Amino acid sequence: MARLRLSTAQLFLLALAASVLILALDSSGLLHPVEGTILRTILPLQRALNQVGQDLSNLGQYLRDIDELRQEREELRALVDRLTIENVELREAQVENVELRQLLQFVESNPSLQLVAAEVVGRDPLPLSRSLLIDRGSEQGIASGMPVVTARGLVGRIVEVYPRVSRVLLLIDASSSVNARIQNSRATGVVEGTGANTLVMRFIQQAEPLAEGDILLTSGLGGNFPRRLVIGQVTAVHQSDVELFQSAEVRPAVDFSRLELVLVVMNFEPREFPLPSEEATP
Amino acid sequence: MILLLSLTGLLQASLLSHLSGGNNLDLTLVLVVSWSLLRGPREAILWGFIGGLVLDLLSGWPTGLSALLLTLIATLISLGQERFYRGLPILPLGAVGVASLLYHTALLLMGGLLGRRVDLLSEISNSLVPALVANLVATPFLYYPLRALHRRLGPPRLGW
Repeated sequence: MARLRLSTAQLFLLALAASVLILALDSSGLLHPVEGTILRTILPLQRALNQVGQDLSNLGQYLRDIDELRQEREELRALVDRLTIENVELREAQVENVELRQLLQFVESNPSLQLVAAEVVGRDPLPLSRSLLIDRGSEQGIASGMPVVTARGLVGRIVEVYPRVSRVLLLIDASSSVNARIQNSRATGVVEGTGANTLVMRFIQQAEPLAEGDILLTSGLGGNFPRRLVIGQVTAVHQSDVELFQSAEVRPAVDFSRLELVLVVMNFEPREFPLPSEEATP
Repeated sequence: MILLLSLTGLLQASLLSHLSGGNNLDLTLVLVVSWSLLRGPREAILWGFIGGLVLDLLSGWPTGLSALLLTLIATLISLGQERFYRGLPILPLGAVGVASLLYHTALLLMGGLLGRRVDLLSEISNSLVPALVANLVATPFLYYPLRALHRRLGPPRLGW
């Protein structure tokens, strides 16, 4: 079959003519069925490509979302960290606030006592010794023998003083002892530390009534501590007919393991009673 | 050729319309212009006509309009480069740029003639300029693979 050879110009004119003819046919509506058929034929492919486009667009959005979420996550983490720190600080402030309020209440209810607040800065790291360090020393007027209290009761007494730090011997130390009085019966005795978190009251007359739940206060006898500071509560009574005195187990009013702030009684001077041998010496 | 141009038209009307930047790309125009630069005016006429016809079928414009415009533009570009600009390295970019401007301007004019409401400034900023940028960006990605294909195929032999 002979091939039709058209010049470029003829081909150009033919294409133009065809375009114009198609335009004319289209405007008259004659092409409509043909267009419909063609579009129906390519519809599945167009739909598939459209779906791919949609998926790619979604994928792009998904990737952008991941980036945004990652950034958001970092920001939220930073925010959580910041808020956690803030929360801890607020909780600490709240606890401190409660503690200070209690101390203030104690100060107000004991106007005769001149008190200085001190922060617990260290605890005895070794066994058998129950003492702690506070951030007040001789520069703040602290002296050896001064009683240390909290709003709940007696803590101990100052045993070592440095310019800015002092050591407090706790009531529960095995070497600690304080003259005490039972609040109800007014009977007296001596409360001693056990080295553990408990106390024991000794030298209570057999005739004195003693019961669980009795409150112990400092008696002021001996001159080492002011009167009427709460020591603790009787948890068990030991009475024996063959013993000269009865004794009692005492739970301290102060939780020594949680001490953070204490008050040093500044206007109490412990009296030192010289031993008879010292008195004889000129 | 018909398959390739149909697929290009379909891609332009479906997949690319979903992609950011792709919705402005005149893939068929870039393909037709690139091929016209490589293969001379006879193939330019055919590719312009068929490519335009595919676009016409897929668009809401009167069928035959894009066929007419792309035939004219492709022929013009092809003849122009044969006579004046052969061998210029930026020829594909320049040709695609000119073709894009011509195509969109012609569509704007035709829109006006057909009684469509045409906001010229809005069309220029929202349609013409983004299309021009997208077409120029896409040109190297189409032109150089097509040139490799052209070299494999050898000189054009049209039986018309």
